[in-house]
Amino acid sequence: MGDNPAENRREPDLIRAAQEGDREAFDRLVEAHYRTVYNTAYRMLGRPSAASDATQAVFVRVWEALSSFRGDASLSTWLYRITMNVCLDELRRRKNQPLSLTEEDDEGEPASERDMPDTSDEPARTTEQRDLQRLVHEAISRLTEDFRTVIVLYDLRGLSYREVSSVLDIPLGTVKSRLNRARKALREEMAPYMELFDR
Amino acid sequence: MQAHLAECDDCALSLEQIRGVVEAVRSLPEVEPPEDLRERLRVIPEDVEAETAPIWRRTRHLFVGVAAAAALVLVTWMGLSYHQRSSDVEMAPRQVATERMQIEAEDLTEPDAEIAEAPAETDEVMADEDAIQPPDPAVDETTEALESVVASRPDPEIRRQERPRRAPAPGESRDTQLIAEEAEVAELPEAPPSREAQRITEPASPQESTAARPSDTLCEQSIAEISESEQDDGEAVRGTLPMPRAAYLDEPGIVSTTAGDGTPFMVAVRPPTERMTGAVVPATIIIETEEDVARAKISATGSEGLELIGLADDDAVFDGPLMAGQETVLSVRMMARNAGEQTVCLRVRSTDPIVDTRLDVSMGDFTEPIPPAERKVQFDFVGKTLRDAVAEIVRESGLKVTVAEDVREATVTVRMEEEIPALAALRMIAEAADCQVIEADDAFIVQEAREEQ
Repeated sequence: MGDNPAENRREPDLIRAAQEGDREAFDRLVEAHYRTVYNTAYRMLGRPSAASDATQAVFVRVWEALSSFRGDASLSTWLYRITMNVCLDELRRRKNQPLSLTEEDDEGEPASERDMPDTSDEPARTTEQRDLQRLVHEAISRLTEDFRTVIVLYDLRGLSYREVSSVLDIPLGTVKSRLNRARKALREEMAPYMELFDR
Repeated sequence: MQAHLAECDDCALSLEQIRGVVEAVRSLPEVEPPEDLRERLRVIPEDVEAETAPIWRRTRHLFVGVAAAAALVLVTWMGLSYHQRSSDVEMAPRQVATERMQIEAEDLTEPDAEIAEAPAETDEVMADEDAIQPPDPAVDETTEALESVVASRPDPEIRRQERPRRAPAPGESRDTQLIAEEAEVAELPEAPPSREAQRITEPASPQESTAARPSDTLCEQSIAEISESEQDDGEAVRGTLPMPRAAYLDEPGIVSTTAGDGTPFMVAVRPPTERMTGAVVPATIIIETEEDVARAKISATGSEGLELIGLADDDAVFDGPLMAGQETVLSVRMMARNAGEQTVCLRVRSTDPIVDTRLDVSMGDFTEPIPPAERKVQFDFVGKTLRDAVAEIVRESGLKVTVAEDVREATVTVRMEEEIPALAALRMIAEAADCQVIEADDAFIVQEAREEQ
């Protein structure tokens, strides 16, 4: 999280200042990381509104707990861990509520991928690409929590095996094998749409 | 693996599809957070401070108002009573009411020190959440997709159980409550991690794996536990393990099981088809249950002289859910160091329902490996070059053979009516090419036949 090298260089100072109650320093940390937290939560939870709430919850926990952050792990890893905990809590809370990405969520907010702003550098995605991305997003949301977690962290967020292992606190081998099975499960979810991959 | 993919269209297609899906996942764009989110995040410190202040502080104005109103009512009531009873001591009740109101106001403002101590509440949460090692950048990033298609070893994945959450104690944060709940579960004897205990913040439980290692003595005893055992499906051995129902660790006070109505938990083991010492050979384990099992853990240990290869540290060959009516097929590789009968002890555990039982399965008699020269082969070579013919014998038997350069392209036509020892087969084709076989140390040389002096 936080790709700007200049920000990263100052991050330890910001953390120290924030630990001492400097709200401006905390706000700069938020600025550096909140998009990543939001995107991670969005892929985990499937809905923009839920991702917003989760992002807020993550930074509430960070503010509450920052004073005891020892820096053994990077702030980024720690944030991913808290993000995943918040998301898993939310998923368990709504366990009996089926997730429908094609319906409007509780805020009447369109939740599908096609309605999200496109910040990629591509000039324009074709309809097929948008459809494929929407289908992939929905397929990810149908995976089990464990599978979804490793797919989001490794394939989507680009963490290394070891980073995923640290974030999830599971052995490296488990990350690899779980990722394999998660990919297979995702392929099964996408099986009806395999012809889209040939185009 | 590549060779397998070249031959297996299904696996190749599967791999191709997985690659396509992974590529599609990686192409998902970053989404821009809603505009109001940044502002919501900006005010977190203020909001948190407001929310984490003691309740009396947050609702001070309400309490003061209620107290004042109560005092007013009290004053009015006492005043009315006073007027109804007597007019001699008119001022006394009002003084009492005023004093009470003053005392309540002081109670509300007194413990300011609690605010400064409030952050300590989060320490317990952090102790868990940041107790992780910095990530190592040197990580193998190569794709595991090939292995995902070909490899079949199960992942010791941990499934979670639902557990009713207790009400938080006063002043207890949500995370603190969760950790306390996990600690309660962890204290239960023989209790594997519950669903909540598998939350990311929970460190791994090494005690479970060490405590779970079965001893040879237990394995011997377990033979009697098998209620049914038969030879079936060729060399497969089947057993029905006692599997009691209706015992959930999450129910308070239950740490043992109700004795069994014996839900069938079928475990079939197919020993290796070839059993030679020093060779790595696979056995197959097939598991089937009649009801869903939230998490089953199956570990295996070999008898003395039988090494099981590639298992996890806790000897697990499977750790995950089992679906009713579906077979779960596992492969366990093993290597016998000693000849003779070897056994594998399977320990099958489940938390929902609770099962902990063992199955001792014979892997059959292992024999010393046959020397390459004595291994039986059978070929029909028609117009084959000597080099290729020898190569096939070598591939089949393990012989070490060198073919002299000047006879490699000689052709041979040899038909073997039956299986014969590899060295005899080598001599046969050598003779057919007017060559001879010379033994040199542990290898053989095929060269042009020379008349003996």
